[in-house]
Amino acid sequence: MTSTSCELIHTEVRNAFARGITRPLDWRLRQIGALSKLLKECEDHITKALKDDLGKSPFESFVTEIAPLLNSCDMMMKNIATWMKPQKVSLPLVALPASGSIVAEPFGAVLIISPWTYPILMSLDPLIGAIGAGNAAVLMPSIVTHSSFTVLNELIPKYLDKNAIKVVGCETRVTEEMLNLQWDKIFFTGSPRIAKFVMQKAAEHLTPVTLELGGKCPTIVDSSTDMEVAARRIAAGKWGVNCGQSLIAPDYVIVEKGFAPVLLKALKNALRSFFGSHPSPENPDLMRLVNEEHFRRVKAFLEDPSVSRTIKHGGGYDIEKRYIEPTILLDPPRNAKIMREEILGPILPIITVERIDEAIDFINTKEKPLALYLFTENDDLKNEVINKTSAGTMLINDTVIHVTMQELPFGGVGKSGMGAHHGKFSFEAFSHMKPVMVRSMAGDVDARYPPYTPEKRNILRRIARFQYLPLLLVWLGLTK
Amino acid sequence: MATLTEGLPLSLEDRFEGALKTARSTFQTGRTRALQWRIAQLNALKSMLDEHERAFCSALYLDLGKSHFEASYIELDNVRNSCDFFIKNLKKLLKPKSADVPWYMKRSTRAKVVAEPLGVVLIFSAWNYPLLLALDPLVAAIVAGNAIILKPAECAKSMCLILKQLLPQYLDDQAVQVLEATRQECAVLLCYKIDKIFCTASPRIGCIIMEAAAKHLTPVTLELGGKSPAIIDSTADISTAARRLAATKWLLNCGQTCIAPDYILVHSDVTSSFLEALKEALASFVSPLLLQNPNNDMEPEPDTQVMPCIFNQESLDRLQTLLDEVKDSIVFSLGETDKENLVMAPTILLDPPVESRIMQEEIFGPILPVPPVHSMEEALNFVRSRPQPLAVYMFTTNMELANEVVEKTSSGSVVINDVGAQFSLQSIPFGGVGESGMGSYHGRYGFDRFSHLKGVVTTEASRDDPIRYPPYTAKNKAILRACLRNRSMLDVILIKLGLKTF
Repeated sequence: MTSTSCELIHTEVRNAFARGITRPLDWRLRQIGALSKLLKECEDHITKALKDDLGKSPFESFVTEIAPLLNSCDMMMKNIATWMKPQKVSLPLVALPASGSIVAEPFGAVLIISPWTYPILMSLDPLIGAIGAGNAAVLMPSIVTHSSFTVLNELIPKYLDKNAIKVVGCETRVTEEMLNLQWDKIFFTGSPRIAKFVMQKAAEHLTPVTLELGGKCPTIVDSSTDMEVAARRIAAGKWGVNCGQSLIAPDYVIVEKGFAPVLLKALKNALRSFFGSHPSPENPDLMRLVNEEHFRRVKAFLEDPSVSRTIKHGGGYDIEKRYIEPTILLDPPRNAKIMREEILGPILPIITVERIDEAIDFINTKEKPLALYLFTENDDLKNEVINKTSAGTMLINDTVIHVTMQELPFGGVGKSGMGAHHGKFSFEAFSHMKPVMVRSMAGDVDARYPPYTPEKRNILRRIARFQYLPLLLVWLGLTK
Repeated sequence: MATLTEGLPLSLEDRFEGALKTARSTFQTGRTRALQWRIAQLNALKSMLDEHERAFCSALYLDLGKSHFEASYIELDNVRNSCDFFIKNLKKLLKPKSADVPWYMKRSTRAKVVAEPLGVVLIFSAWNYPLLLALDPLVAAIVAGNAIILKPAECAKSMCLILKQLLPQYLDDQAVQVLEATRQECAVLLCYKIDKIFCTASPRIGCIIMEAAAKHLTPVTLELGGKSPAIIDSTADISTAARRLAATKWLLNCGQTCIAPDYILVHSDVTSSFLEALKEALASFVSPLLLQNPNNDMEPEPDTQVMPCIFNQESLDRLQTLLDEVKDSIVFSLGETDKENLVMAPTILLDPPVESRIMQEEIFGPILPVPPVHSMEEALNFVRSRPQPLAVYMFTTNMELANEVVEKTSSGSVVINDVGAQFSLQSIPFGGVGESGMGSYHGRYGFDRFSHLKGVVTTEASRDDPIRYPPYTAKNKAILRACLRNRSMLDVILIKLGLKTF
């Protein structure tokens, strides 16, 4: 794709917005309805693409990509009409006669860049928000997951308004060209490294951004918790979904030294009950690494001898199938690469501490993550962790389930991102909330205007400070 | 220069690093999170303003030629109102908001949204309202529980000095620090990692700040400027419109206000009556002030009104250059421009050329172009063809037309039949869009801007349904699929009984 083609696409989308086609409720409902239809009619097609790209089973494709999208469509269709209505705001007495409201206005032409981890979900979920808010959009799905990109490239123009919604493959050079152009909003999901570049380019045009990034999501396991349950939930969040290639997968675990053996045993039990004693790439519930590059990246973590000697479970792999078996490490060196970088793979380090509250200090030496998981029955520890750490979202006694909750803002903080989406937050992520004040021409108090006599100044100061009683007294002439 | 006994002066980096280190370690103690701490800071700010009102007003007079009245009415009182709003409402704002969970999780799971501070916040103030634009964002950052480094506008020297002196005396001086820095020094400051940047500035500076912020992925709120148009329709109440526009344009800091009406598009049917009304308003409001002849060396008495000045020679020269290009369009001018005293004659232009600089750049001064338009459609196209401004003002009695303006233009805010009213209200988010900025503040919007809204989900460990985990039987898959698609409990029961599938 040439830079001229990028410019052409950009212009078309901008023009579509300028012509006003994306603003009527009717258009938004039709597009989202069409998207819902696409997902239902082409589920098999999509599922096959996800199988090709990531080895996802139809069940996992449904659970992690299609169902959430259908739910987003339903929720958006149910609510757009309400969210589009101006929200009345109350004004103080002194501002009357007047009325105020906040109107949600679409930004305009938006750019959505999505990653390979959930190639369908992370392209279409923000798109639902963009359309719901009345924008025109260019979708740039990752070409790493090539089959998924192909499906989107083929199906979106068939089902959606191709004047206002376009698909362009996200490869480096093309993305750079696109980012040189002026967008009204950019929604980026991916790594912090690329996010910095995206934000720098956005700065040139003062384009607001939502960045959904990753990070090392820590999991604290306290001794007061039911280890078997904790282990199952951690194992499900880590290995039950996309082979650990998830921005919100539990990246590593912190546990008190004395309880590490119990936890390790519980994790092994969980793995055995999920995937059998000899998990293999043929297991429909186990995924593959997305491509060779990522396979090598993850495998390289284990090639460090100081890390490989800490393997307590797993460690096996199949290069051809890009498969690494669920692997658990116990106390790899804290400065090893695996403890410095986001793993995004099926390796789970367990870090031990002398006392569980040291976990807070350890977590705070790292960047703020997208999610933080805590397993405990101890309320004091709960409050300590809530107050002394920061993360996009925090879960107590579970992992990853917050993605299903449409009323929670899903997003990061610090290096894990800025802005949020899901539910109404998606609508607002793509809207400028514009206040509108309507004042009456009547009620033009003479005091407003100069010359400001001492009396007028007195009145105005009282008005400015909402001092109603003194104002009344002044007006009645009972005081100066 | 320091003497040997005092040691070497701190280098730029030392100063900045020192301040950041103090801010971070103070934040980490957790004391900025306590409700009492936040309220105490607000009360201290109010005391500071009350006990030193005269000194603050003098500083504003020295820096900008503002009268005591304008200084207290516009700058101090707005900050006081912000403080009062939060003193009253902060406890409520801090309460976690509960969030609904899917029905199949209701028995075991609770979710809420908790507002947490971002950490160390950097606030860049602006010279045109050097108190208000320093303290108003400061209030929002404090109530969200952050530690703050405030960089006052270095060219508003008197205000800079007084803030540096008084803020540490009244506020927690480790949590709220005043850091002086020149424009060049700011480039160094922006290399350090900060958790949030709030900046009021021109769009050009906004770009520089956001680009620097990108290096650390620091979220930014940018309150920028733009050319805020006013549109007068033929149904408008002309004299009221003229008075309201004149008052905001010329009396509020002499047009050096981000939400000042920059230019006015008037329907050609009412252009002459509007111009007459505007001249009348200008003459009645401003003439007495111009006769005062302020001398910048002497502070006026608190009760004296003075014409606000142009900020400095550079600004005045710029404005003069803009005006010189369109001399032929001048239809009214009041008094004389007095360069020595930084007074510029309020001027009205009729239909200056569209390509002229004054019609391209934000004016930020007491010159008001009035391009007539032949239809409201022409007005809307004119506004839409330009970068999105901070505000659009529309004067009309035709509410359908007013709605059209709201729908067909984009701006930070819209005010119908008035000017500038949107700034002082705590229930309205104040901010821009596009080139006029990103993010907003005031009231709970300010609180939200300086917070991270964190979802917190708590699940019981005691109920652990094995259906969640692999390996999945066909029935379990059907149940899970139905749940995830928000099917009813009845549907799920029927699936469990084998009477339905999904």
